[in-house]
Amino acid sequence: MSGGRRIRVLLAKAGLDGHDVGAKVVARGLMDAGMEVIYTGLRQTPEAIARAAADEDVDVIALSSMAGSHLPICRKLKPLLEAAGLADKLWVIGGNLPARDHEALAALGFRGIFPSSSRIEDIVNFIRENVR
Amino acid sequence: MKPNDAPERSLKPVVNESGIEIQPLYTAEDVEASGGTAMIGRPGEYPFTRGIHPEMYRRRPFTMRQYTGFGNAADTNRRFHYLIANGQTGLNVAFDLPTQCGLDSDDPLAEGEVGRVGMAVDTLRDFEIAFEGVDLDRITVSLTINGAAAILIAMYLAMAEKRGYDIARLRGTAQNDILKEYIGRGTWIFPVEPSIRLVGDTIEYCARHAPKYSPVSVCGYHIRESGADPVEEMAYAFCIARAYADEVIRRGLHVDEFAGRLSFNFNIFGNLFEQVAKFRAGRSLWARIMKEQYGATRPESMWMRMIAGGGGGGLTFEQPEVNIVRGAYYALAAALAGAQTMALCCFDEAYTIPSEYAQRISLRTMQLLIEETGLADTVDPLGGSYYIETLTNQMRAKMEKVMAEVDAQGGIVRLVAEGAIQAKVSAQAYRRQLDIEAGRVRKVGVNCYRIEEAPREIEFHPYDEAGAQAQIEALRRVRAERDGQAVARALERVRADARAGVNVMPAIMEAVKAYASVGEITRVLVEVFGRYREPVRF
Repeated sequence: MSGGRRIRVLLAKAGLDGHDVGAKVVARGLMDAGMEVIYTGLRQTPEAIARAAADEDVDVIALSSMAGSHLPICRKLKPLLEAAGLADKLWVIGGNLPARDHEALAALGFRGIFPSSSRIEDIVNFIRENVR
Repeated sequence: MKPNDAPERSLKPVVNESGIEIQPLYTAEDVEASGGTAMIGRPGEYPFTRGIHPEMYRRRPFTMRQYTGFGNAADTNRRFHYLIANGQTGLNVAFDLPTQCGLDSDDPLAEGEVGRVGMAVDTLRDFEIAFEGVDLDRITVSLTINGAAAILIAMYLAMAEKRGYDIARLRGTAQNDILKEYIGRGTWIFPVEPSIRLVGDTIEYCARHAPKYSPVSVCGYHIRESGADPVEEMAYAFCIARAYADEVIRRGLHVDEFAGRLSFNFNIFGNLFEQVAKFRAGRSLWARIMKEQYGATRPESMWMRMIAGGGGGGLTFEQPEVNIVRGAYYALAAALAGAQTMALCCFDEAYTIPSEYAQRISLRTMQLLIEETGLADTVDPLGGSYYIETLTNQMRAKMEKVMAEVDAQGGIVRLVAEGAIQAKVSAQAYRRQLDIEAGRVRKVGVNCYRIEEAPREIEFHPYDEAGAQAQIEALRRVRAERDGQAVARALERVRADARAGVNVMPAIMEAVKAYASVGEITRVLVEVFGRYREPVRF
């Protein structure tokens, strides 16, 4: 990445899902690894997430989803991120993500998929290696 | 040097999650040094350390109340009957996220979430269908609802009344603990102050009209899931329960008019002895708070009645069938601790909404404790153990200390509103995750005894798109058929009463009986109360 600035991550909770323990744990893990993390808090619409990602000039858009609605949310988010000129950023998602949905998430542009039980270290390494 | 002559290695220190160092052996001296035996007492007598009833499970086993709900009311009704047919003795209703957030199924924000993680409820019609054929005297119902609790309590009472039950004698429980929603779980709607007022409205209304109904179940459970240790779990829950009690007492009610219907919801994962001591300690501390600080005189007002269950935070994604065994040990802890009600997270619950099969295994786990292991034979079987009594004393002292710290920092309402509790417990959740990843906290199948597994053969609960659409159409039919003027009048009364600062429950009762929807009533309340803004702290 250029300029040697710290990696900036938008970490978002989309939809009505109220389970944020994992998102906050990952946020701290990324910060301890030297990244800047903008955590949105709960109940963000896809529109709000795309806007925040553009406004905050982030390198990584990270979603946390625990309540099973990851596919409908990501389907709405993809065109919004593209319209905001964020197609070249790194999109990652973590949470309760059944293996059978991973292909669909990848097809929607999510390059990093971290189901429950993923290790913080693996998430950090993936982001470091894949941010352009 | 022969092996037998090797110098003895010193034992590695053991510290439990609550920060108490555990000795390799306990004796009567340890009990004495930790505060003695004065707080043990007898079950059914103050301070209730050994149980709130004199004969506990010999008189009546704990209620079994698996958390259940998905799709629409008819889908959920079928699962209710399945569980009841398999011997379940209570119901614990899971609502979908739109319902929990006060949104109707046709709200744009509800898209993709209708019926997904719980039952969709829009109007009284859904409650009529959901509980069809359930004998509400024999099977008590617990509603896991918080932000929208005032509306759903009203719906439950209205549904029962319509079916001919006398609500003055109706039993049941609502979770209705909004302060913990701000800490963990996240289904808040209104700002802190009006939300506490709504909790007060439900307690006051039930005290006057449905005095057997438990309008609040104060939850340490989710605070523990969010990173609190077992001592903090109890201490924060007691602080929250006091905040609700204070709200009701400000309105002129005496503590004995409502405290007997306050209940609690706690977690059961972790060290078994620590959990048992936690509940024994908590029971005596709550009794003392109610008696000494609030002047309660009725024993019921001093009872820490509880559902002890779940254990989700201890279950693992890895080797999920091992969660069946974990669940059995957690259930054992809850039974040894004298829980009134039990529910277990199912072995597949880290993946999906539990299957019937998984639900039945959890139910059988609880039944087996009663039928095969002798757990119901005698009260507080671990009472008198030097270890348990010492730990009970130590944990009670620690809970009191945490509560005093909360008070010194401005009280629980302020600490939650500012996000301070959230920041504290989420820091602890992070440290625990690091401890697990580093192997300092051992988790079988996670950081020891791992196996490389093929993808799991878990039966995934499908999301029913057509069912969600059918729910929306059913709501539209209700809207078309109901008396629109009666709905408008009732909603106007909700608005007026909310503005005037009088108890909104009678108006909400009128609204739900007119088939006003969860979303319509919530919208009116939002106009008056506003919406909560989350202080994002972690």
